[in-house]
Amino acid sequence: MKRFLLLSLVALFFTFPAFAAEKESAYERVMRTNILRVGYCVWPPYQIKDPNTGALSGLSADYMDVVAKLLDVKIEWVEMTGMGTQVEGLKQGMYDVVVNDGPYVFSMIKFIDFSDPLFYAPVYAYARSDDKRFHSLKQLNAPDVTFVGLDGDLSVDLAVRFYSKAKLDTLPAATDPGMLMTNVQTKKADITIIDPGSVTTFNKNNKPGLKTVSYTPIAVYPLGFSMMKDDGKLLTLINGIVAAMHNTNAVDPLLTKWFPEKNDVYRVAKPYEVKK
Amino acid sequence: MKKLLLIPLAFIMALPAHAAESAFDRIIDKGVIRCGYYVFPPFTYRDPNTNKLSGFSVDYMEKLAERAALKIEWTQEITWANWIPEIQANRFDVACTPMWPDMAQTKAVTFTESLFFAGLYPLVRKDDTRFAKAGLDRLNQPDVTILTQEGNMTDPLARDIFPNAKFYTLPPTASGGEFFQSLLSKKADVTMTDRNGLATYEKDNGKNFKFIAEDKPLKLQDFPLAVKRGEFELLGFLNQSIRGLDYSGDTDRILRKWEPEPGKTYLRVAKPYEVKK
Repeated sequence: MKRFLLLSLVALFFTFPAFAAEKESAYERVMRTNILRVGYCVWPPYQIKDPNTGALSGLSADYMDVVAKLLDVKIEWVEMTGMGTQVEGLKQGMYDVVVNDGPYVFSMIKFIDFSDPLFYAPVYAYARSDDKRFHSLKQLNAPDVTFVGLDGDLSVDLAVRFYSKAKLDTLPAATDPGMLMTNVQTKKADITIIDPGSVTTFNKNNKPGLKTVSYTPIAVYPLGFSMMKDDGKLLTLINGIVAAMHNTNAVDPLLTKWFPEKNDVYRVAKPYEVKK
Repeated sequence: MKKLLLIPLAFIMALPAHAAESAFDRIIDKGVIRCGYYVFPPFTYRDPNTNKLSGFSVDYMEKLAERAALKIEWTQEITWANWIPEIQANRFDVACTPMWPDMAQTKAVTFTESLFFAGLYPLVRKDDTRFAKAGLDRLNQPDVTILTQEGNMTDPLARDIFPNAKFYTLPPTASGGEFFQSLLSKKADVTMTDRNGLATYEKDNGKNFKFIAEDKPLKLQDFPLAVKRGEFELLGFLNQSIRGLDYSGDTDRILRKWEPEPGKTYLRVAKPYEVKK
């Protein structure tokens, strides 16, 4: 009987949650190390990586400087292996949050949470500037039109949903997103769905460049941070930082700096009314 | 040796698996959202011959599920009286027909963000010219009788806003037809309803009424989904989905398909961003 009791106690000891080797949450890790590990994909002008030095610049680098100061943490950048890999990367603890992330692929919201947005990005269908065939979005849903998209990105998600009759060429998730526009420019595809900020950057160095088929956005995405779904404390912390950035007008000058063209991105509407 | 068989029992008793499974865990595990629904146009219609469901709620939830790679099971028809105890008893995961939330209900259930809104406006007979230019203050007079229904949220609202008016109150069992008939037969001068209420009446009865002060709703009614209180992961998932369907234009497209006056019956959620002109 004594032996049974002893074995039972040992069994209970190892099954109590307090003694189980519980996985440290991202929030706990950030608080313990004072380091916020940030996942990113190279995607100008949001994230620009110097090919020689590896140094990061762009909108995210600037606003993460603000985050670092507000939170008094060090930022550690982790390059992701491609779009659509954030669920696995966050799950494996490769980084704590992903910058400039939004629900580009809707099914991800089963697994990850998104913070309140820092801004919104409209996306449009783009064709070559000298392509005279397209005057409305309705024309794009036809078998003789070829879209190009990136696996794990909205460029595939939206093409499949709204233009199912068109052909779709997909590029692997790890492909440089600039290839979406290059493939249209070089006539490998007719259309890609992308944000105007990326196209403005691309058109600076590429002639004739791309033009939007319609001035109506196909969709508008909120952009903020993503993180694991079960980490409510980290979500609260990040939402607090996002609110602080809006309330201290830290976001608007950075958007103006990186997106000088009107409405390449949309500002978050004020949650209050000021009487005129 | 027999006693050793008891050891696995000790393990089982202490395993965290005995913690209650959340609705969201169950949805992810099975790939299915179990919906409670009520039949009310234009949100849900049921074909009397085939029992097939259609309407805004059906299209909206099926779209949400399709985008999230889930399935919808239309598990249970609910009523205003039973939906809270039924969702608390885990008979379904989400109240999938947009609800009219009541603050008292939030003690038992949690509402999502609103899918859209409706304004409640004063409604008078078409030939009644007393109120056209006088504004809402004209309704708050002893010579004005306001029609309400016992148990309907418009009753306490009207009594708060128009304390000086007289009231003609129908019992809770009165039908929608009796409501409008009481106004037509001049038992009362004014009632409150939304554009869907009037459009549904006008479909079979013609244009006998008009709204006044349409620029200032007496009440803005939100239309959220609902989950059992404390189901925060499911709530977060639904809120993200609601925003996603709004930003992609799906909510507007589905509303236009089902609302009686496409683009007008229900007020859309304001865009959370600013577009420079």
